[in-house]
Amino acid sequence: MDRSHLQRQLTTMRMSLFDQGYLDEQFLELEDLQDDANPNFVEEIVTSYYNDSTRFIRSIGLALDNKPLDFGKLDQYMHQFKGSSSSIGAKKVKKECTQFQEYCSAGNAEGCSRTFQQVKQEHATLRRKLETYFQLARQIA
Amino acid sequence: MARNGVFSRRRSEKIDGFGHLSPSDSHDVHVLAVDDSLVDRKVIERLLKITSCKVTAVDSGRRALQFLGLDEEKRSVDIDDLKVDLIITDYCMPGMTGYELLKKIKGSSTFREVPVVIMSSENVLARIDRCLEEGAEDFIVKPVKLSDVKRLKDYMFGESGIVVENEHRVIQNKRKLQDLSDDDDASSPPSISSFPPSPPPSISSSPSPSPLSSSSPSPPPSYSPSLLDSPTRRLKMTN
Repeated sequence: MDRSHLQRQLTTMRMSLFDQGYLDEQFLELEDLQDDANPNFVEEIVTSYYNDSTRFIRSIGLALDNKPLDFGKLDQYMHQFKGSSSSIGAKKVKKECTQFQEYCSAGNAEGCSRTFQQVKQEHATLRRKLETYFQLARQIA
Repeated sequence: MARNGVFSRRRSEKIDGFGHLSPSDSHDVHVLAVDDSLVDRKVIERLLKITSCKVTAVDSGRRALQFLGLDEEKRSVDIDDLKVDLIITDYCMPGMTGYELLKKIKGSSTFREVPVVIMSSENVLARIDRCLEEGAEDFIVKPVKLSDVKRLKDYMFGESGIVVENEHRVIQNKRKLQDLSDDDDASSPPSISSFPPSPPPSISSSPSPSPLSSSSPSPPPSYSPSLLDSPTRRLKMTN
């Protein structure tokens, strides 16, 4: 496949990530921080994010198994996880985090459990999409 | 005269030293960044480096105090070599919050004059007020953007971005005068939207009598000159 075709593919992929609401303008901010001296900055940040957030996912999962639920702690974990998600522009993930926190405030255990599944799903989906995206970007570079 | 009265509220230097820059004493702005989130630390570090700042990034209030030599138990650097021009810290951190760190810094004779900026993902007016009252220079809502850091650096250290010993606050004060005379946009809606559509509008003038007028009552102490330029001024107008 020639380079311009790959480039078009990359552009389409990128646009759809935004159009479909997976990413928001914070991702653009990160892209602006990339330059010739730091050509992989975004990928590095995203990698850090996934390394870090796996820990939060695990902690939240464990905390959800501990009945009765400690909503304060759950909210705290989710707050941190949401913060990092927001920093990379992970729009859908962030939305689910907000929903989760709302259920925490309401003391709704079932709501929390259900939303946590959504959080994990969005988190995994975005990871796959971004991996594909960065892989393609590296092919072109 | 009220002009000097306002600007010397927090800084005692006069404004006529602008012509006396001494490059041999200058250095890049050194920022101490404090955030427990690895992702956020990396981002803030990059943002600061892009704006030509030197950065030391630590993951907790405790480590920040250690770095500054304010931790009772550990000292990591020789105070004389330490030139921290700005401290930017996350608010919500396990252990010591950014607010507690702010109080410790403002309570120290060595570092109380160093501007402290708080970052938070939560836009809570009471929290912002509390930080500003405790002496924070500014409050940035996360996620932090390049424009936030540029604006911060510009109004604190002047557009040259070079910190000149004992002179940088002089430059800052002179810019405050220039910027106050540029005030407009009194009707702009207060907002801290994530994406300013264009370069940030200049901050609207205070509804109370202009601080430059000699007959005005002095503004409350928390309204330092730098606050008039700061983005949080717009927030406070929502009250």
